[in-house]
Amino acid sequence: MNFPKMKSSPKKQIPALLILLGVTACSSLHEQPALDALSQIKDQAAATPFVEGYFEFVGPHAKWAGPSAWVIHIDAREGEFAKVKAQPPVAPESAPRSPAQAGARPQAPGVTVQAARAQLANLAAMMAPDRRPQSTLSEACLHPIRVRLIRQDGAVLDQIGCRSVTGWESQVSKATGFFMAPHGEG
Amino acid sequence: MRRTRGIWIGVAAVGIMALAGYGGWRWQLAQNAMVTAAVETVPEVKSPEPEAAEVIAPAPEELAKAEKTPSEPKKKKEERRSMTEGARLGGVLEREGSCVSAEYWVAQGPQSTPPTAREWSEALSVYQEVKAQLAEFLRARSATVGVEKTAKLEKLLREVRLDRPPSAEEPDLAYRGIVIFTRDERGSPLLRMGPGFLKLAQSHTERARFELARAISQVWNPCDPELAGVWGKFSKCMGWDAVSQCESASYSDLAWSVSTWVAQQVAPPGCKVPGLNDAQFQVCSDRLPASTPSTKEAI
Repeated sequence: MNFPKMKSSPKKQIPALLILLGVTACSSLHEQPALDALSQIKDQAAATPFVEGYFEFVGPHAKWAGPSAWVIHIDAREGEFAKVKAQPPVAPESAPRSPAQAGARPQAPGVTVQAARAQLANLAAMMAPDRRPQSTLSEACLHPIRVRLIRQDGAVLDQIGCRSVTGWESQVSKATGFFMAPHGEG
Repeated sequence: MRRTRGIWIGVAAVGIMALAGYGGWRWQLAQNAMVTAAVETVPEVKSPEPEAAEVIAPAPEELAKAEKTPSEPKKKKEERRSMTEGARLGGVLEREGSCVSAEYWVAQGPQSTPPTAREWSEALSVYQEVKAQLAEFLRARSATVGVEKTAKLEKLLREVRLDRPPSAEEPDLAYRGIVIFTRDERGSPLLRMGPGFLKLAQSHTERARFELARAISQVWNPCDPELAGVWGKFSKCMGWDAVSQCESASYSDLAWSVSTWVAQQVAPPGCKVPGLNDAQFQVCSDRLPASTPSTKEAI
């Protein structure tokens, strides 16, 4: 089978190859700005991590005799394990199953400080303004959730939302499950 | 000779291009991995196997179906320890005749065993009864509420489903003894309960029925513009405006007062709810659509 001959010299091919190489390199770097933004978040989290958090499942006013408020406090400032305290505690002080359940925390192992900070950073990322839903005037809020996250440098991220299966509010429930659960060795 | 050199140059170019592309791809992966590790990767919460939400229609066959489809042999299930055995009541449910916030806490949380078939079927039957009573409550008041709005309220009531605890979506509830009104990802009304609520249903049935009635009736959202006519006069009398009571993430006393009042009519808790006895509520309760002289006496 005869193919038509391609008339080209190496001199002519080199510029074309350079262009192709340039295009390839550019295509792999076109997401650079987005990655830069995420890198900034990463750097900020590493520089001044969230080291303390309060999750409050707000109850209705006492006069309605409804579900009581429940507060989870996470202290991941220092040490190997974070201190987790629930108020009211879910277990009597005399028979703790896990430190958080007893309302106090001297038992190890538990959630490592590193894991606790990662959990708080993840929640903070979900609470970013552009990821929050717009305010609506159609649904009464029966179960508010209040979150306060504190960075190592003292900066505070404070937010209130309404219990939901989507958005950062759902992450609060999941993070509570994480901190309250008994954790294995290490 | 020239042709051979051209071929080699071509092969080299393809190789370089492939290397450049691969390098770029790897670089992106590495960046993503670093960011993910710093920001997004958190240990997964181990939840017990999720149970599908039970769709509750006011029909006994649903209850029978729930009992007939256990995920493991019935005998084994019956032998299992109940998850509510370790539940402990934190505080008191009433003080000097007044209802107080209290619930059964479950220390094991999601690690505990799911409810037994018996526990769940008992809870389902209480739920069905309360739902039927709410439907009756509506029908009895259709004259004051209006036929059209009664139909809408009945439709909303039918849409409510009860999720079997523990909830994988809301793991904090696994430690609690409350029942809450919420919505699933599609926006459909859903009740979720902590396993401690099953203990309440066993030990303080009257109070559990009241709490269920209150949670179910929260589907009659007083902030829904279509239902404004039903609760509007009462809300106005109480001095509550839509912005303060219905704005997203703002706690709504209006919603709690309406649902508590409805629950009081349908399934009285056996104690006085302080909010229904305060002076302002007493003044405004006759603005509630279903209020009649007899219901006023009940309050």
